[in-house]
Amino acid sequence: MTNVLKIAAPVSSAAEAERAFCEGADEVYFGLLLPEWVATFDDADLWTRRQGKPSHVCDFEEAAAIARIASAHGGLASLAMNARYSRLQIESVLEAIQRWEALGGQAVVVADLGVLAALGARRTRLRCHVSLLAGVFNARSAAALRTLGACRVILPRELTICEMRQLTGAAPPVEYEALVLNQRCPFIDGMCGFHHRQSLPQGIPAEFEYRHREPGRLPVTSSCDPAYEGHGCRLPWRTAAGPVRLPRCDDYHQPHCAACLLHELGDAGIHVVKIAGRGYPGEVIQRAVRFLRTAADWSCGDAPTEHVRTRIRQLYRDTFSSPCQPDRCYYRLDNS
Amino acid sequence: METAVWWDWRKPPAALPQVDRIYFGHETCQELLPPPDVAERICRLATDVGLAVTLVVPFLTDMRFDGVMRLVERLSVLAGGFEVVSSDWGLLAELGSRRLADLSVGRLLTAQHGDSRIARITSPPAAAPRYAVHLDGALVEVEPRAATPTLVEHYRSCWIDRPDVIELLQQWGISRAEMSNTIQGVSLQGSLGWSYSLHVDDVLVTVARWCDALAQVPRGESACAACQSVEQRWQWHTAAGPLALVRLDNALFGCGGPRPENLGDLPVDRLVKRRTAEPGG
Repeated sequence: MTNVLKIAAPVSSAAEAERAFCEGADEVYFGLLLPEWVATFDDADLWTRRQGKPSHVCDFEEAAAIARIASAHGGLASLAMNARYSRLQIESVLEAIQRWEALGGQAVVVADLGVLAALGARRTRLRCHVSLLAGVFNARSAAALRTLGACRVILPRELTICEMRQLTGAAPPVEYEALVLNQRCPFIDGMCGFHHRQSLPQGIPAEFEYRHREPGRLPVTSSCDPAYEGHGCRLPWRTAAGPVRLPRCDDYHQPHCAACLLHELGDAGIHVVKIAGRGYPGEVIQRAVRFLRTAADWSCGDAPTEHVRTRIRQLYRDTFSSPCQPDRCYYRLDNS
Repeated sequence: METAVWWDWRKPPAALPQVDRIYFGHETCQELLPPPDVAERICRLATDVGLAVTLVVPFLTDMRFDGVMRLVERLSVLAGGFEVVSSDWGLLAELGSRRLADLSVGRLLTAQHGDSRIARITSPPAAAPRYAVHLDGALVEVEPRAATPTLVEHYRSCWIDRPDVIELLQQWGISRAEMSNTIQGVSLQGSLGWSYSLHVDDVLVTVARWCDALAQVPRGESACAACQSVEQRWQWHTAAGPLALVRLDNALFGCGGPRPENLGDLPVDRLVKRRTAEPGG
């Protein structure tokens, strides 16, 4: 295998970061959602491509703690500021990134070309990773973003492994990262206009903030869109003549996965494999890290590829209590 | 105000449209770009009658990149003022460095807030009482909260419309960007030497890489077996009732909003129309 793969795990707290590194992650990434941002912009996916306070770190003390933990483990902590920002947000974003750098942060994930260019012009010490939301589908795009200061490109989920190999082979020598577990959306994430906010489903228990009122009245929560029913990719839909289709996504029991293709991903020029799922329960992410660490270690060895693939598929079954299915594969090998 | 209309090279109209410019190519799928000889024929037809020409190109993989470059080289000598709209940063950068065409950022990269449910935030309807259950078992009343004016403005604006981004893109040789006429309205400031095209009929909501994400494909068939060039009406089930979308190949479109009341104040110098079935209720 060409590259020894590193594993990047999502976290929402310093405690989760510590557990992720202990389970075998090499890197962690997190989003930031400050109270003053929520007060003006609500808690939809306008600052990172993730909604809700539980999916984010909400103060710089926690962010600094994550940076210290990463450093202590010899790993990397990345701040995901991977939305694209209106003129109403940009000053706050650049200030937050600057503060992250001052606190000892190591890297930042961005999709906004203006932010990337500003960090390059500022000669930031932070490693600048280009998010998959920027839509880098070819070597020339990677080269263009390299000129703005990117040192890593996270490739879109929608590239085949063959296309990844073509891209990394022709592009400038930056690092390449690919998602390999969880949240395989049918739509191209960086090109999707469906918006994400926390839904408050009727009748199904959910986590959200609420406050008590005077006796005799129900506690209350508030929302700019009380009727929000979920991400567009998760809603039932139908064509005029067809049956209602219910999108299925169960990352807890049968996640989309590329663990048995780690050898091919390494050969295709990928350096870092990423677990998606910021905001998932900590034990779900820890289980994912353990699973992927084992799969990555097996993929590094000398055993024949098919033998390793079979073992990893059995590991999937043992880990998630479900067999892996072809429609759960994260990547096609090629376009056929 | 310049007017433009889409020309579907797969189903060419009987007569040339009475507009200033035609758009042709494909906005979302590199496999559905016209063959070079068809593209050249369209270009010649249009320029012979004084129509300006815009080639629309989506994001590209490496396998298609060089072919598109050759196509642009071929077309750029046929039409004065030849323009390329692209949702590929690499193509925009390469064409900009070689000054082969006027350049515009495509709608997949301008990344507006295209979800029509955002109108429930910017123009909230009267809400019936609603309740939610917390994980701790509490039954909680959900109160509607008015969006701040800043949030409303944010949803109407676009990341491209920042002075620093415009300056960067102009350095790359890009001079304009494509915008959807979103339901919640559009708020743009622009900059010197920068303007926008407003697609008035539809909102490009989302896109899949392959059509099999949008349709059932028998196992073993290629992903492109589900290619659907006929507009297909979809309905999303939302709290406010069915949300109408139109599937065109690998993308979903919503209906454009009403003509912006502030159109005269926007840095928009071109209106783009698509002859498409209006998404019904």
